[in-house]
Amino acid sequence: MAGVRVVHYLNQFFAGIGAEERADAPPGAVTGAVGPGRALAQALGDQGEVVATVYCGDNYFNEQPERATEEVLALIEPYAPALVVVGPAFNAGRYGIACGRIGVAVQERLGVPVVTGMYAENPAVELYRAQLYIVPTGATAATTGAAVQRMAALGLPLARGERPGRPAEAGYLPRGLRFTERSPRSGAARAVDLLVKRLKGEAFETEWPVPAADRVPPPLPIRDLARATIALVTSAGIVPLGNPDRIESTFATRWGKYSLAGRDDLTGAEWEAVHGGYDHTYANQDPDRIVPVDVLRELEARGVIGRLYDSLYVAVGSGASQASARQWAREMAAELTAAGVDGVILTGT
Amino acid sequence: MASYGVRDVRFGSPTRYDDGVLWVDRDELRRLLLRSGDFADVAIEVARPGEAVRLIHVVDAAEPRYKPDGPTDFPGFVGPQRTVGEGRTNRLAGLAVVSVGDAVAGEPTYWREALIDMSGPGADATVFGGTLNLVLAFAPTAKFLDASQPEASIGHTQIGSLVSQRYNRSIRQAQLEAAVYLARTTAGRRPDSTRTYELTPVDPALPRVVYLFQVNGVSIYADDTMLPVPTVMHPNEILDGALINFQANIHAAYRYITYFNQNHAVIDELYARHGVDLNFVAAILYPRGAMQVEKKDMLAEYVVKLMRMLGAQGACSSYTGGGHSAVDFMMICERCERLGIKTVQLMPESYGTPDEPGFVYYVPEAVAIASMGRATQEIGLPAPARVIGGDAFFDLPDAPGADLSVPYRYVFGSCPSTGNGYLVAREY
Repeated sequence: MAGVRVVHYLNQFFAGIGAEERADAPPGAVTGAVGPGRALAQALGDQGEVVATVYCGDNYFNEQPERATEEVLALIEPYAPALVVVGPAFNAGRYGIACGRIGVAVQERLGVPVVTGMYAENPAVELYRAQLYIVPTGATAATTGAAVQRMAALGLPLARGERPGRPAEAGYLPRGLRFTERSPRSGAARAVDLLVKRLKGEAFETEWPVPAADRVPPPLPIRDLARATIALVTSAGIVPLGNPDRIESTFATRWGKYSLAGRDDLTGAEWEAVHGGYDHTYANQDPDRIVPVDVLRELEARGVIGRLYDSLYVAVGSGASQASARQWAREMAAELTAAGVDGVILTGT
Repeated sequence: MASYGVRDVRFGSPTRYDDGVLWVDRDELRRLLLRSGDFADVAIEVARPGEAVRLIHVVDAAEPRYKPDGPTDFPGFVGPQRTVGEGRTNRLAGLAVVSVGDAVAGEPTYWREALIDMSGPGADATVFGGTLNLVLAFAPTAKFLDASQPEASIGHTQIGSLVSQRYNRSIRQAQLEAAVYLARTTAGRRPDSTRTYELTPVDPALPRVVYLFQVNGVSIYADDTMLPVPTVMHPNEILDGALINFQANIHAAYRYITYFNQNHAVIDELYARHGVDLNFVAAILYPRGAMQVEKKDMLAEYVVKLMRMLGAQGACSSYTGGGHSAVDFMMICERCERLGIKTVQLMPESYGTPDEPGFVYYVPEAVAIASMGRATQEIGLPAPARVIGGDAFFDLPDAPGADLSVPYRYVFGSCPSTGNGYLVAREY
C-alpha cells in the first residue's frame, strides 16, 4: 500500500486497553489501526496508511507529562511517519491535554506535521490552538466518523508540505495566526463596503479583530520606600555615546545594560538617544529628561528612596513585537529580582 | 478629470502623446530637471511591468497631471499658490513618475529604504509593479553631501537636517515639474474618458460621511509644517495636487505617496457611492499624533467637534502607521463611536509576529477595521536582472540585485491606508 505513512495516537480507552480503570496504562504501540483508527484508515483511502497506533493512559500521561511525552515520542519515531494523527479527544480534558502536548512535541522534535480533533470547548483548545491544527468535533465519540474524515482531509495535504486554506474552508479551529496575502479587491473598496453595511445596519465583519485586553495583576506596593532599591529601565533608547552594543533604532533585536555607578546625572557628552520614533533634540541636550538619574540621586540624598540601582536597563521600543518586549522584560526582571531591586521606574517616549 | 491612457513610454523627440504612446525627449527633460542646480545628474529610465527590474531607494511617485485651464499645477511647487480641485485636470493614466536616489548629509535613513520589483511576487505586492514607471534617478551636487556644514546637523531626527530637507524639496519639485511637462502633451487632445468629481446635493436622508485623514510627511499647499489643529478640506483638493509627500524617512509600505493622494482610493470609492448609499460631505485632515497625553485629548476632541459641525454620521478613517499615531487614531474612533458615528478604520498592520494581535493600542469600539496587510511579514523577492537607484541598501545586508527575503514594510506602496493597495492580512 502506497501513500503517506501515518501514526495514530489514542488514549487507553480508544485503543481498547480498558476504560477509566486503565487510565494509568503506560505507553505502548501496536501495528496498524485500532478502534477509531480504522475509520481513519478508511478516510485516508489509498492516499495514506495507518502504520501503527501508539497509546497511553490519560492519568499516566497527566501525572508525569515530560516522561510520558518522551516515551510516546520514542515509540512514534521508529515508524518514520509523514503525518501523526492525535485523538480525536472530543470533550475529554485530560485526553485533550495529552493530545496537545504530544502534538506539539511531534512537530517540534520530530518535525512531522500533526492533526488533532477536539470539541471547541475542550480546555486543551485554548492552550494549543495556536500551535496545532485542531479539527472541531462534536462533544462525544458519536461524531467520530465525521471527525476523522476531516482530520484525514486536513492531514494529507499537510503531509505533502502544503499550507492549508483558511480555517472555515479547510476545517480547523482558527489558530490566531495572521498572514498577509493579496485580495482581489482594494483596501478602499473593502473599507467602504464595511462602512455602507454599518450605515445600513447590516451584519458586518471586521478584518482585524481587536483582542480582549489581558489583565495583569499589580504587585504589592513597596512597604518602605526609604529603604528601597529603585532601578531605572527605559524603552526610549538612551545609550552611551557611540551605541557600543549597536542597539538598532527600530525593530531592535537586543537590549543593553549600563553602569550608573558614580553618576549623578546623564549628559549629552556621554549619552545619546537612538530610538527611531521620536525627535532626539531634547533628549540629546539632556538625557536626564528621558532617564531621570539626576532626580533619583536627589531623592537618594534626601532619603526618599534607599538607593538608585547601579545598572540602567535600556531597550528601543520602536517596532518591538509583543513577543520581543515580553522576552526582554523577562530577562531584565530576572536580573533585577536576583539583585534584590524593590521597584522599577520605566520610562518611554 | 480627463484621462489619457498610456500603453508605453519611449524615448524620442519631440516629447508628445500619440495613440497611447508617450514619447519623451530625454535630453530636454533632463535639462529641465537640472535647471535648479541641485543635482549633479538625473538619469531617466523606463521600468515597465513584467521587466526583471528592481527600483531601490525610492523616494516618492507622482502621476503626470496638467490643468489646461489653470489656475495652477501643483501649487507652490510648479504653479502659483491657488486653490485646486475645480475645473479640468488632464491625467496620463497608467504612468507614474518615480523618484529614486541616495540620501544626503544629515538625512535619516532607518525608514527610508523602499523597493519596487517590476516582476515576480514583489510586483503583485504594489500598484507600482503594474504602472509604467518613468524613473528619475537623482544624484546630488557636492554641497548636499558635505556633512561638516552646520546645516547638515540633524535637527529633527525623523525629518533630518536642513540640508536634507532642502534636497528632498528639490526632488519633489523636479518630480512634479516632470509630471507637468509630460502631462502637457495632452493639451488639445481628446481624452479616453472623463469623470466628474462633485459633491452634488443628494437625498438628505442619506447618511453624511466624512473622510478622516491622519497625515504625516505630506505638505499642504507646499507647506510642510505639522498642522497645529485639524482642518477641513474638500476631497478634490487632495485629488488635485494639494498634498505632496515631503518625507522619505517613513516606512515604504505606508508612506503617503503623492501618487496615492492624487488617486486616493477611499475618496474615489466614497464618490462612487455619493448619492447612492451615502452623502460624502468633506475630508478632515489631522496631524499624526501629539507627543503629550493632554494634547492627544485635545486633538481627538477637535476632530470630533469638526465631525459634529459637519453633521457626520459615518466616517472612513486612515491611519499613518506607527506608535504615537495609533493612540490618537484609536482615541478618535472611540469618541466617534460613542457619539454614534459609525467609523471604519483603514489600517496597515505595522507590527507583530503572525501569532500576535499586532496592535500598538486599541479600544473596544474599534469594531470595523479594513486591514491593509501586515507589513512585518516577509516576502521572497527573486533577483532581478537590473537594479536602478543605488549600489547598496541603507539597512539591509544583501546586495540590491540579490534574492531577498524582506518584510513588506520595505515594498513601496504595499500597505497604504489610502486604500490603494490590494494586500490584506487574514487569520489562519
